[in-house]
Amino acid sequence: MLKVNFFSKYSSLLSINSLYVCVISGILLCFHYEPFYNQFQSTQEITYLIPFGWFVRYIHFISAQMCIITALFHSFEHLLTYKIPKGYNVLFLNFVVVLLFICSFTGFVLKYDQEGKSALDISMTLVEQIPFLGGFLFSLIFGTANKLNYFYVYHCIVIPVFIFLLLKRHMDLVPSLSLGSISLIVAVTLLYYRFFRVIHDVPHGVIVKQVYAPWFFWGIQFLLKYIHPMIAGVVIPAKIVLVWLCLPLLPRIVSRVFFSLLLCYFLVGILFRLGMI
Amino acid sequence: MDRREALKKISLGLLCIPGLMFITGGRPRFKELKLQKSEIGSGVFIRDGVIIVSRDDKLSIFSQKCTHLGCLVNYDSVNNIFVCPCHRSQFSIDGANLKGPANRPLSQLDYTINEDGSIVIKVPI
Repeated sequence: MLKVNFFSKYSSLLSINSLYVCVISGILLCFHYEPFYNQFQSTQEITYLIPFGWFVRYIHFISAQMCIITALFHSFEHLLTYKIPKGYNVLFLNFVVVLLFICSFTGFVLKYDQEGKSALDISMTLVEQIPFLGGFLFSLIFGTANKLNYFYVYHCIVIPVFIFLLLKRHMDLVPSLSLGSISLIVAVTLLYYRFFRVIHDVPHGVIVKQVYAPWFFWGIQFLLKYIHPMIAGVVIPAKIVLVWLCLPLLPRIVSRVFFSLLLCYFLVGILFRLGMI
Repeated sequence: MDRREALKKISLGLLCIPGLMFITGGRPRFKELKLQKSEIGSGVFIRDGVIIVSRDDKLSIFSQKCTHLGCLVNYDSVNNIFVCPCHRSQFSIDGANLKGPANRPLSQLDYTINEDGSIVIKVPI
């Protein structure tokens, strides 16, 4: 059983505040982001030319990642401890976590550097290979190939709307903004910008040793190197999502096993990203 | 659920069908890329997902997509090979695969040369 410490007590508050910050910074980014042409150029303009563009872009990224991590933590808090009852309430939360990951992936693609473009190309190839449903799903997710219109609409409108509708079912009352949480997000953003900004965007056509997927797909990127793409890229992620969504309705022992396997998956991903495997 | 409620749900469901067809419809399968021979020059030329290798007045035209998972390969001019940035597959200058995980050569693309010397390439999208 997990110990309910300071962080777990405030994980939901931090998560919802990260979401608020993410939405506000996302709206600001929409004023300057060009989704139809020269997407990479507009990302660079936002980062380097527009006043405080770097800050808005990075706080959007950091708040999104913090929201995902804290929501995941909060969900496991529901699933693994006996202090909070689980059930349909948690089911909505688990749906939200899945949507947060999808939203983060679409955001990763929208920056449209070499990493974003490669992530889009790989996801297109994988979806197209799905038997029977591939063509339909491709048109539904990507629309006209090589354009980001659909991803832009999903990222900015469709997924956030569903997230808020599901959160409304999950929460009894909507928490207000917390100055402490927002200060933490700003501090992490400034630290991230200080140490990692240089390696953030990979321009097109530049020879790099390796481009990487978003952090939660590092494990799958590693598997894709050795296992058939259909199994590593479609069957395994689909099974993970399916089991994750069913966890609130299954015995706690399943959640514990899933938690351990998920930790192993992330560990493999981190080792791959560090070039150790 | 009474009959009125059921009818309401069915009508709402039916209304979703045209919406879904609108979202998934109208996807072109190919686009045409037109290039003048003068802009290609000799050596390796890459544009809009197409690789053109021109050697001794012979043209080889490939898709830039890696045959493993569709990432765009980059040209490594030092080793004269194409390298996929996603999983490090390698292809020779004539498109043959040198190193996996890709196990097929780069896809050759159909093209026609017009009377004015321009090249029209059919690019799958």
